[in-house]
Amino acid sequence: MSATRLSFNHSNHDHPKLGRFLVASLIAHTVLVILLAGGLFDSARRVKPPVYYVDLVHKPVLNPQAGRPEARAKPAPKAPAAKKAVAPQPKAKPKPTADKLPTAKTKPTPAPKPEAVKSAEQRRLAAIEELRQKQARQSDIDDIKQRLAKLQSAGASVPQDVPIGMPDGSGTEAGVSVVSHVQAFIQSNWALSPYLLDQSRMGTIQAKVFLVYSDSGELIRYRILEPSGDSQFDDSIKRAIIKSKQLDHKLPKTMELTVLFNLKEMAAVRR
Amino acid sequence: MNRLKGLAFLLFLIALAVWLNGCSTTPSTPPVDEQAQVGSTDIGQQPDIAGIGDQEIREEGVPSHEDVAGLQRIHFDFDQFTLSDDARDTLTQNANYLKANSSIQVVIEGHCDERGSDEYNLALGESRALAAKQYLISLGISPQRLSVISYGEEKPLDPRTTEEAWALNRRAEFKAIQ
Amino acid sequence: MRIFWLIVIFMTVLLPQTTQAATEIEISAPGEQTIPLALVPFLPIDGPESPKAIGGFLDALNADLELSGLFRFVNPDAFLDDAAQLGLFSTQVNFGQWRLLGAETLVKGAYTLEGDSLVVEARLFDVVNRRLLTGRRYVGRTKDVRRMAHAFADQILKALTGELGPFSARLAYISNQTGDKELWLMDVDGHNSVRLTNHRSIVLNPDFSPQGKELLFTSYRANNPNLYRKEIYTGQEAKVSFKKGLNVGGRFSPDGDEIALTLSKDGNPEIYLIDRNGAIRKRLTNSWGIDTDPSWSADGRQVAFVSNRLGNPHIFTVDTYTQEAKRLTTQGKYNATPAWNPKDDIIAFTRQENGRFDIYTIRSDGTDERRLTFGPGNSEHPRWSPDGRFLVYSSDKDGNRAIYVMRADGTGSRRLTTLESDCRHPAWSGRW
Repeated sequence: MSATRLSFNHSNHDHPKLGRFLVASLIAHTVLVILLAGGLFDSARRVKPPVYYVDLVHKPVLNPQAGRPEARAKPAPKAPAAKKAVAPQPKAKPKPTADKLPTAKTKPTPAPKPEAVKSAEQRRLAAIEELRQKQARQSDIDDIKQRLAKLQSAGASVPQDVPIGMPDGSGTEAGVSVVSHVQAFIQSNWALSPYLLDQSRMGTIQAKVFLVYSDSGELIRYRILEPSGDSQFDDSIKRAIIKSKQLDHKLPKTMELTVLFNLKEMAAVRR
Repeated sequence: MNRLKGLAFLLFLIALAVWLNGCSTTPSTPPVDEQAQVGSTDIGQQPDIAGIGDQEIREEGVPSHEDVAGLQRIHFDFDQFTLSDDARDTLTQNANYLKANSSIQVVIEGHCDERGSDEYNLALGESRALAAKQYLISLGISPQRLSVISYGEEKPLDPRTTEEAWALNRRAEFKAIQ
Repeated sequence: MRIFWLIVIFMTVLLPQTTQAATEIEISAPGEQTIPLALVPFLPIDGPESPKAIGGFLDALNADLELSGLFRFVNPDAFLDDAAQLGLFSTQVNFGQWRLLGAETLVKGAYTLEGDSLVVEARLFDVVNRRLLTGRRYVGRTKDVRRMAHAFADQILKALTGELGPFSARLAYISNQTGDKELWLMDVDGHNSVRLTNHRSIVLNPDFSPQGKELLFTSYRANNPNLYRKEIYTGQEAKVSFKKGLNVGGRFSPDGDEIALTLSKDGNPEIYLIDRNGAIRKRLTNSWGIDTDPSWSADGRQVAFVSNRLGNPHIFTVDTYTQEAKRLTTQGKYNATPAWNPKDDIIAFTRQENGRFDIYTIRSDGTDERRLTFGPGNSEHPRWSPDGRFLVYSSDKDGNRAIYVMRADGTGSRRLTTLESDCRHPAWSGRW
């Protein structure tokens, strides 16, 4: 919320650039309102299909709006080609929509940026890795494409005018919740085998960590507030934090997080 | 110029706020990356590799057991060692044979079908043999002439896994000690 | 004036942020339930590569670590040039490269081969923290290469869990390979099998002593199921219990001082405690029915056994001091062969349903019963590894009866013996 206010406050000054920005913002907001109204009006007459959150491309924001996570294509190119139109969907970066929408954040959406590489050697490795990942992603995307095509031919059409956002969003910004983004990022870096642990502690073991991320997504500092007492568990968390020292996206602002690590989900499955 | 000053002051304020904010929550700030440590290698364990002795063991003089034509085997129901009417009739005939041939020492072998756990079946086979022994004693055969051994499921008559084979294998056999 | 306004503006913007408490996140499961491990082919310190000599090391290590369930192996095809670098000190390893491949742990090693003598240096690194976790040097002959790997697998588990793995232990089992059921011994991966007895009779149900390389077993060699004790290396064999009737199911107590077994000397199978020389110390059970198949609790205070005193065979426990017996299993109609976990109050047992045996576990208080195997065929004779992490058992699911090993939760099952002979009654030794 505060970020939005920032832009308006600045615009109170007789700064020419800020003034121009205000005008742009107003126009953009109007467009948003029109779009939203149109979407709501339209969707009222038809049953919305279930909303799935696909974590392929996203921009972390503080207050994600409600809606669908995938990019909304313009009606014109989308309507005719049923099969082809699906293709850009999973790939589409949130950029086009983000530009249209007046998220108060002025920074451009960052593309996943590799860590600063120093030597040519490292650059080469990074390139190899990127290629590898791209290939892995490509096969996933192809798979999704195929499934989507199947869905489409089966008649499950996707409405084109549902706002972009999180299924549970309640804010005003297009993108995913920054908190759940960071959560997912750290979780993906946390590797722990259940065979390392005392099975009887699985349901109760937990550790609390304090993390501060800069708005560039860099971990500034961390502190383990409450260790679990189990060295395997605590070590795995330390590894996860070190692996999460650079997020793959910028953040809207510097963030302080208290992260509670536990195994409740795992314990529930293994019972 | 004024604006610049304001900007500088602003920056100062931000810095102050961030610093205060940081201070209030984390008095010390440990480095993110842990120092690479060069561990001392505690190498030097010699694997325990020893040869395995395999000594030949000589057979002891073991008495052999022989089938006796006049002694019939009896059969049991699954997981049971109670004597059926058929089994009692057979045991009565066996008792008569033993009375007529008073020099024969008999070992009663208890057997089970392959179903059930090996260890439990050893016990079950024992119980079957003992049930037969008790009945022979009750028919007047001297306990000194009777001994029992259980083979559990180790010596099936019919190794197949059919109901008929299992029924055949749940048995007590009577053999003469030579 | 302007400055004043700026301050006001900034206070309104900044204050909500500074007073705001840190956002709370809960992460209730790791993203990955295995540790990514890069297992790098070992390199010769000098001289040409000798895959024939060292191949068994990686093969055995891979199998042990796979069984542990702790790891996900990073695809070797993705390995970069550090995999070809001999440097074994943590300062020499290019950890960044391994991080790039997603590895959190790394095994590297080197070897020297001189004639038949083989020296292997093996190291486990923490890739994220860039440090050595454990390093070992093994000296032996080429035929020992798999055992070196097992020893290192044990060390890897120790470095990561604080407790040695059970891979360099031995398994005893009964095989009819010679035509008679004899006692055999093999490594935990099924290699190096060797016959220990030549009774040419029926040998059954072995158990290792907790300290020494010594085995209990029952043999019909003297035409009665008697209990024997055998020292593995000297080959010396002694009759322990040779009472009339059954002397079966001998199990060393955790301190190795006593033996629980089934005796039927009084005409009914009961559980007794005897000393190492066979003298009866105590009778633990007293019922009209069959009491058999004892298994010690980890603390040596209780013994689990099978009894049909209430009709069908069920698992009971008896307190060795008070001789008070309690029924443990309530489900099913045929429960047998209890095996008490050496580290935990969990008892593995078999249950027969629809004519087939499967392996289950239950807590010693009778709660949390779980089924571990789901056919096909019969799975029987479960016995724990000394660290309580694995179960060895026999099954006929692939045809002939063979020895299998699996994790304590029933996953990762793997056959260890060939299907050419009938193998059963496995037992896992203590630390070798």
